[in-house]
Amino acid sequence: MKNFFLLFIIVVLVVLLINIQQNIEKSFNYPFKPVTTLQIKEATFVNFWGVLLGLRRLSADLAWIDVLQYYGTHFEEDEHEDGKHHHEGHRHIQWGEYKELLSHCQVVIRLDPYFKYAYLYGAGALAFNHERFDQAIELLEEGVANNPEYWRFHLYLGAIVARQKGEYQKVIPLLEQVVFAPETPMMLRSILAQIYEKQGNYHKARLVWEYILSTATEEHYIKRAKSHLEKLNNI
Amino acid sequence: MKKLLAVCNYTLRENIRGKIFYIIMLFALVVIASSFLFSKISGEMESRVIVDVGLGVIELFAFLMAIFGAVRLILQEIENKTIYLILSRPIKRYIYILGRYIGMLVIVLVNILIMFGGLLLLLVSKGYGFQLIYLEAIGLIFCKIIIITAIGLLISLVSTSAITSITATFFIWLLGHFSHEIKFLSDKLTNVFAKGAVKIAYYIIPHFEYFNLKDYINVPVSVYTLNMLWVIAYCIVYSGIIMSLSILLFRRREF
Repeated sequence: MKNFFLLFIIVVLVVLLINIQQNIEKSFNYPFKPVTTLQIKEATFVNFWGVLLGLRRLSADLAWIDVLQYYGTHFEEDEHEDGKHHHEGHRHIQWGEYKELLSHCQVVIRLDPYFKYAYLYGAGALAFNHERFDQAIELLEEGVANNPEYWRFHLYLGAIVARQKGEYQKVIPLLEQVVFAPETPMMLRSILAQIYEKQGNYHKARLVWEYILSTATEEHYIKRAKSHLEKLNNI
Repeated sequence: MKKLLAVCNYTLRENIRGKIFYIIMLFALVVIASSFLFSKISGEMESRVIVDVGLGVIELFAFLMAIFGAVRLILQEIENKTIYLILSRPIKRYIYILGRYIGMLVIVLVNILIMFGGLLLLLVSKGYGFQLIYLEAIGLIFCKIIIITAIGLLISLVSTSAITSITATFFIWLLGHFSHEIKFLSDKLTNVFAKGAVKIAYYIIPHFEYFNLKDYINVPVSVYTLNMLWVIAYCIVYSGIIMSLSILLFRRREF
């Protein structure tokens, strides 16, 4: 008799569970694409197990560390002290080609399509450091598709297209609108500061370098900001 | 109620005396602290990496504690024959099994809170603030633990080997995180029978993606809209079903 009562309770709970599940699914949309449809060029063992164990963000973080290991953190070109020629906005590329940079970034953003910083950093590096504008645009367009509410991607797209056309005057106002946003990579801030310097707009350059100095956590950005501010003070 | 508390207390004391939980917790705290190293190589994404590694480690180690604990709860008692001593007392079987289950959950919850404390300490020491969503994520991690502990207990009642129970529970944990894929698969299938079977499997397996708030921290709420009350109700009812089945099985079991 007791067991029949328990069985009855189980049946009631099952009906209740189905009802609850249907109610949850009325509003809940799983925010990620199925793993089987992910187009990742080189999915690693870590990515696979991360997704399987419900640790997508953590997998994306590990993939992100992989991007940084591939690309390095001290990638940026500083002033040409070797006397090499460069003109305004044109950055002489001294480092490697990093042909796989796009696919490395794609691993990150496909594991976590809401990792905005990864889009911005990847696109910034591809466009401003390597002049691979099409790849940068491809990355940002994926960002727009995955994060339609994030309007800053459109400004970056505009800045990259302007840079591609060599219209440097259009690049600046677009970057100015995003430079102090929390998600903006330091790399893009320092690019804008250097453009200001090259234009002779030392006041704005100083503002950006001061901002970098007060917010950067990475040692090389702090060093660069200090050295640029020192130079600006001597002008 | 008094008897239930006595069994809970017994389970708590048993686990406090055991070394395995201390080792797992200590190891988890070391891993959480090591997220500091990860954050050092993650550039500007330091706080994100600390939080993700921290929450991920808390979930993983809480899961390990839960499956090892749940599987040992009854199986070890049977192997050591100590269960005869307990069941020979005037204690109902459902009280015994519920007491063991609740005691196990309390010990895992305490461990989760200690690990979370460690994570918060690390965040504060790095100058990052606390966000309410971290606490919500921890709450939902515990909901997963409530479900998986019940499943582990049920499997250990069916199985005679601890390894088989642990392996089966582990696979259910994986499947639970894969329930969205199962739905996707069922939508793609054309065979009616296969589709039906996959659909049934979809309803049977626990939907851990409802509780995976730690993965949705940066996702706009408009995308996933999680109704917390429904999700908690799901956890209670699902674990209620599993525990009822466990009680049913335990009642019928002969020692």
